[in-house]
Amino acid sequence: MQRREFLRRVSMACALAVAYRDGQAWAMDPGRGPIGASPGQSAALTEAQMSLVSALAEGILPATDTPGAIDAGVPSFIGLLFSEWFTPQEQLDFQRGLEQIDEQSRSLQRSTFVACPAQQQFAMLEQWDREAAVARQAHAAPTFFGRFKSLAVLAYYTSEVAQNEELKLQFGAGQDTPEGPVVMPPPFPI
Amino acid sequence: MAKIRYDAIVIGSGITGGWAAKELTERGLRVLMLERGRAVEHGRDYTTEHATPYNFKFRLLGDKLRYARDYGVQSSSTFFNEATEHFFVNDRLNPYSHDPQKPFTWIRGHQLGGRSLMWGRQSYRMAPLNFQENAQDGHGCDWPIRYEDLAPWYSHVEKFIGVSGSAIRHPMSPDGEFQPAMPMNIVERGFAERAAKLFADRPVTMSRLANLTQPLNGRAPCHYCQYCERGCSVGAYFSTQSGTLPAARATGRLTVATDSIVHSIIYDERKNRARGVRVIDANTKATREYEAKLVVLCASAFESVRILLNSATPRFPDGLANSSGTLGRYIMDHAASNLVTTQVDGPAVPNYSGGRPGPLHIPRFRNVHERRSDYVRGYQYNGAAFPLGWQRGMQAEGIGASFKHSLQRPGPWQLILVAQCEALPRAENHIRLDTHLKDAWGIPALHIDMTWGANEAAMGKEATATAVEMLEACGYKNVGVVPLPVVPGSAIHEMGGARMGKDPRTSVLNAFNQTHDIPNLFVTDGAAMSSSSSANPSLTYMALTARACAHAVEALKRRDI
Repeated sequence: MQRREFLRRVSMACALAVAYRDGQAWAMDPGRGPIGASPGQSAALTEAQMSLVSALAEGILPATDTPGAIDAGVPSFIGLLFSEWFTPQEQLDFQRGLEQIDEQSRSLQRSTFVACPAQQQFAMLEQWDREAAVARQAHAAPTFFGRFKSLAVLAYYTSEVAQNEELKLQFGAGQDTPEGPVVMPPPFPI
Repeated sequence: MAKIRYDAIVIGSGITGGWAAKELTERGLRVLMLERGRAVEHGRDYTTEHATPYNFKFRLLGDKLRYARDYGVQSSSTFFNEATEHFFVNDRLNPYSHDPQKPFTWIRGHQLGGRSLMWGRQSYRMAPLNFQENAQDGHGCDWPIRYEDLAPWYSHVEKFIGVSGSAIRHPMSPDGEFQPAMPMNIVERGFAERAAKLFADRPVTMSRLANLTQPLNGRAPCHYCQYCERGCSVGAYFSTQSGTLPAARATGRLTVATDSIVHSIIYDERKNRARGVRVIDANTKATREYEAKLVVLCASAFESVRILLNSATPRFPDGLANSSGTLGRYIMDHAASNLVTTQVDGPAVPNYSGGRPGPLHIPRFRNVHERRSDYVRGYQYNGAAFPLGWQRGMQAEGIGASFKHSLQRPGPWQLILVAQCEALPRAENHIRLDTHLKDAWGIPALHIDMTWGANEAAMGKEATATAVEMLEACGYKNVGVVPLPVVPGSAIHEMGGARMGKDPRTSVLNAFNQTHDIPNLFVTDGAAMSSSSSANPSLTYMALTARACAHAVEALKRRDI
């Protein structure tokens, strides 16, 4: 079935709730069996891994005239998801994905990602982002970076900092403006 | 302990249970309302009402690992998330079965107020034709009532619950007692204007919503926060808590017992009357009995049928009031087309935290004045236009400052249409008691056996193609189709199973929702539906309930039941 494509399109098009729950790429690997609680969930990312998570997230959503991913607490939220939300298999996949980031960084720049200068980090992020886009367009399994970026985007824009300082959310729907009310998806159960 | 005898027992406190309690108490009866779930107090227990994503531990993603264990079905609902999970049943404690090849999504809310707390609120009358088509095309049994029988009760309900909407003088979407409709946004207005020039038979109009646009009975108008399904402490949308429960309580004749799971109906074979109900305490599992002159089932379509099936007696070995053999059969839901979508030009708008709580509505226009050869009955569309939010960044290319900047404001506008398709009543679609599976209280679980038929498939296909044609005819480019694999039950409009009919040999209920077999036993929720129409059904359930209760009280006074 085209469930992955469906969810991708709906998350783009109309379903906030679906985007929250399913559209985030991490849990959507169709190759996995049913998820379930089991020992190991309390595992936490190491300090080094958290540093890498921070560098990746800040590279994707940097501080500009508004706060960036680190200011918004993106790394700690991803750390929480790792410890309490991922399945054990997802934890392993995530750790392996971080390892691969550094492997590729060493291969390309002879240094871990965190130790690379900002310009080199940006070049690698751009490359991985293109690879993620190619995978999406080919309806192939999402890359680690593609999944990580989805999580980082969700973690950033749902943060207090981003909701208030970046998005500057206004209460209501604009119902009293000439444009009329926006409809926040999903507007109805489908 | 001495049994307390009531005039009436209402089983369930959702959208019909609330109405039954209101109508019966206001007509002088002492009523016991039984609710299997916990108490939910209006306002106080809407604990997440205006909470922002960062107020939630998992930012509304919810506790995925716990959901996998306890909410495997419920979490598939678009209404289910970290802010609403407490209004949905625990699937592990409340199991049901189905053939693996015949999935069914059964979304339930076991608490005071039931699903009236998180319903979709679209409120349409069924049309005169909807009550005639069973007789005309031979699918299902003839409804024992016609539109004219229900019209005053639709008005009665609309005035009380408050329905915002537009009068459109359309044969398939009869007008009612409306508050002013919510406004369309500028993109939707453009679509409606273009469509009006091309398609006179299918007006693009605002959905009719049980969300207020004017104050009503101490309830405030909608403030467009968008989080209806979390509960609304100002009562801007109709629920048991905001409307019928306070009205019933105001009579001084209502007793509410929560955490009270009805196991079965107690049947007096000598008198051929329902004598009362057997209840299991949800917390202690202790059993108790209540007695009444009148029993009204409002437990939700499938739960009401389940109670009757579990109340078999020597006289009714296949389920109480089932001399017809149709109890549990002819279940329905609404099918859907695929999602038709296009990107449209729209104004730059700020990021809003809220949204309008309802979509556009296009009433049914197929098989009204003409007869199609590919399917019978018809569908209605919902639609909406909205700007894409930051979520588009989860799948979009880009990193760094420019990427972040691109997501700072809402993105391009999207216009969508999707059809809600009438499903035919078919005998093979049925529910029965599972012979092995039981719930956490030892009550046999339901086995649900339902599939879409060829008529629904043909209708959905045509509805998709027509939506594409409409949008293209209106001048929109790059119209796309997103597959929408709708599992039966997903519309959360499950209905039927104790259908109304003229003939006691082929139906469970008569024209007043009274069981043909047992005069003081009524079923007034969605189980009563003889056909589904394409309309969202709750308004019809409420009107049927109010009408049935008025009849029951008169019959009681006459000592006819």
